[in-house]
Amino acid sequence: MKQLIFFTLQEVINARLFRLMLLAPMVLSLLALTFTGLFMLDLGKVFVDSMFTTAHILCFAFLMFMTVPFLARDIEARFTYVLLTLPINRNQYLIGRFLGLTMAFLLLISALAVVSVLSLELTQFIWDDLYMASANAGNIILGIALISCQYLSLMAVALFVFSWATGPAEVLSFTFLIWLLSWIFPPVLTAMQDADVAETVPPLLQAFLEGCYQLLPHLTGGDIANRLAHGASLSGSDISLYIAEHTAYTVILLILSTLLFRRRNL
Amino acid sequence: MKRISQWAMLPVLLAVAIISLAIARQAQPPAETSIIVKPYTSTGYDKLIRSMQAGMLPGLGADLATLEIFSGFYQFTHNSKELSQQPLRESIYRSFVISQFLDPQFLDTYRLTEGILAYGLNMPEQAVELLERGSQQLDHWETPFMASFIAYDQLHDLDRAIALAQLAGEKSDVPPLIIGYTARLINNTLGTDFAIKYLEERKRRLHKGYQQGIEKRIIKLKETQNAITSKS
Amino acid sequence: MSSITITKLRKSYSNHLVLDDISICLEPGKAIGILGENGAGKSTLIKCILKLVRPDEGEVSKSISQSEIAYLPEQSYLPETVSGMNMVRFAASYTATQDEAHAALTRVGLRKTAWNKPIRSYSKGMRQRTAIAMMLVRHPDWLILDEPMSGLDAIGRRQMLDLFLNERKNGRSILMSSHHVADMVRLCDEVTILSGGRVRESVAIQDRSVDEINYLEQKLADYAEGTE
Repeated sequence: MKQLIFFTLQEVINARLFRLMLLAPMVLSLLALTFTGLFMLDLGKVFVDSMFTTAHILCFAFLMFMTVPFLARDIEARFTYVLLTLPINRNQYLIGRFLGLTMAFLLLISALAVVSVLSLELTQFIWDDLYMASANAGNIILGIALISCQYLSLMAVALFVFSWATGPAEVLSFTFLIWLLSWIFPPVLTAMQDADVAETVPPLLQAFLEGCYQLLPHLTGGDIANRLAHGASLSGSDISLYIAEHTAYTVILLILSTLLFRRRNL
Repeated sequence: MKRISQWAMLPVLLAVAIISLAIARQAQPPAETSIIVKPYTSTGYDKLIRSMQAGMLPGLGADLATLEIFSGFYQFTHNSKELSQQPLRESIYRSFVISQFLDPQFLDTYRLTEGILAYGLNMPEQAVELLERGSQQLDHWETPFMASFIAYDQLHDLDRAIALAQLAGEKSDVPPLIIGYTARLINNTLGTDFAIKYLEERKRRLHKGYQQGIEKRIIKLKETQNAITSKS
Repeated sequence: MSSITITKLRKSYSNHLVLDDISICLEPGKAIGILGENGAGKSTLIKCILKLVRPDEGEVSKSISQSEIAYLPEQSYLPETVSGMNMVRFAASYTATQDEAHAALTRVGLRKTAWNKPIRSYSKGMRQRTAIAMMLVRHPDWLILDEPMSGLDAIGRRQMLDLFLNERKNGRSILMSSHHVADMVRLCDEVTILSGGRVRESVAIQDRSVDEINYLEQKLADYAEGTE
C-alpha cells in the first residue's frame, strides 16, 4: 500500500492544476492584504478572516477539482482495473488512494500556512501593531489546521460516494451537495437560537434540521474561526475534541467505503 | 484574398459597433437613480439568509456587511432624491444588524455605529440599541460609553445614559475619565450623594494606579456638597 | 504454474443475461483465445476471473495468487501526469527491481527518449507498450489480455503480436479475448468461441493457416446470427 500512496501523491503533484493551487496562496494572500486595507480598526481580525477564507477556497478547490475528478477518473477510465490487478486488494486500493490524496492535501495546507505567516509578518510594515493586535501566527496556523480537518472529512465523503457511484457526475454532485449542506447547516442551526430568526423557522423544520445535522460532518468552524480571528485562544481539550470528532467521522466513512467497495462490481 | 478581407472586416465591424454604442448611450437620458435598494424583508429572514451565505466564515460575512455600510452610506450622502432615502437608511441599518449578528466582537461595526448610524443616518435609538448589545459581548469600555453618550446627547434619556455609563465603568480596561463622566451624570440626575457613593464603589474595585484620580473627584464633590449645604 | 477453472459461471446485469453456464478449464503453458462478437460476454468473463465482478452463480477457482496474473484491459487508462518510467517502476515496486523496469521498457520497444516524459505526450501505441511493460515487469505466469489490438494500426498490431508470441515462447500462459480472428489464430493454441453468453465451441489451432481463419470466422458469424 505504501507504493500506492506515494504513486498517488506523485500523480497529484505532477498535475498542473495542483501546481497552480500551490501558487494560489501567494496571490490570495495579496488579495487578503488589499481587502484588509479597506477597514479601520480591527485590521488583524479582518486579515485573519481573509486568510481563513483563502483556506476554504483552496480546500474547496482541492476537494472539487482534484479529489473528485481524480476518483471519478478511476471509475470512468477504469484505472481501477489496472491498479486492482496488481497485488493490491480493494481495501488497500481505496485507503491507499485516499492517503495519497491526503498527503497532497497536507502539502497544500502547509504551503498555505507558510504563506499566511509570511503575509502576517509583512503587515508589520504596513499597519500599526495596535490595529493588528488580534492577529497572531499561532491562531492563523491553528485555524488553517482545523479547517483542513473539516475538509478531510469531506474528502472521506467523496471517497464514500466513489465507493458506490457509477460515474463522475454522481461523485461530483453528491460531494457538492454534502459540502453545501455542511456549509449551510451549522450557521442556520446557530442562527435559529436568535429570537428574530426563530420566528421565521417553524419548530418542526427546526427539529428536522437538527436530526439531519447529525448525519453530516460537523463543520462548526464558523464559531472557531471567529474566536481565533479575535485573538482568543482555544483550550487544548477543545482542539483535541474537534480533531477527534473529524478523525472519527473520516474513519467511519473509510470503513463504510471499504465495505461497499468490497462488494461492488467494477 | 477573400480570407484576408474577411479578417480585415472584423476590426472594422467592432469599431463600428463600439462607436454606435457610445453614441446611443450619449443620446439616452441619465438614469433617475443608480441606487439599488434591497426590498424590505424581516430582520430574522435576513439573518438566516446571510448566515447561510457566510457559512463557516461568519467573520467574512460581517466584513462584507461592513463594506455594504460604506457603500450604502456613500450612496446616501451623494443622492439628493429624498424619496429613496428611507429605504436606503433601512437597508444600511440592516447591514449593521447583520454585521453585528455574524461577528458581535467586530469593533469596526461599533465604530461605524457611533458615527454613521447615530449621526450620519440620524438613527440614534437604533445606534444605542446596537451598541448596548455589543457591550454585552465585548469587554471594552468604549462601546457602552458611546452608547451612553448618544443616549444622553441625542435621545436625552438620562436614565439609560447612566445605566450604560455604569456598564462602561465595569469593564476591565475602563479609564478614570469614564468613571468621572458617569459620576457627573449621576450627580446631575440623582444628586451628589449617589454620585459620591458610585465613585467610592468604583474606587474600591479600581486598580491602585487609578484610585488617586477618583479620590480627587470624590473630594471635589464633597466640597461642592458642603458648599451647597452651608449656603442653604 | 496452475490452471484457472471456471465452473458453471452465470452473470446478469439488470436482468440481461451476459454469461450463461460457462465452464472452462484454462490450462497453464498455453495461449488460449476467447473469441466472440461484440457483447458476447468476453470482457465480463475476464472480469469474473480477475474478481473485478462477482458472478451470480458458479465459481472461478485459481490456485495462483494475484501477483502471478497480469492484466491488460481494453483501452487501458494510464495517468497522464506520470512518466512511463514511473508507471512501470510503480508496477515493479511490488515484485521486481528498478533495473527490471528498464529492461521491460526496452523489451516492449518504447523509445528511451520517451521514458521520462509524461504519459499525456504518448501516442496510443506508446501507452499500450507502457501498459504491457507494466505487466511484463512483474514476471507473471499468466497474461490476461482484453482486446489488446483495439485501436492499433496494422504495424502496431503486428508489433504487439510479435511481443506476445515472444512471451509465449518464454513460457508465459496467455488468455486473450478478441473479436479479431486472424490475431487469435496467429497467437493462440486453442480458441473458445463465446456467443450470446455461452461457450459454443473450443477449437484447437493446428497450422495457423488462412483456412483456419476462414473456418473460425464462419463459425463466429453462424453463432452470432443464431444459425448454429
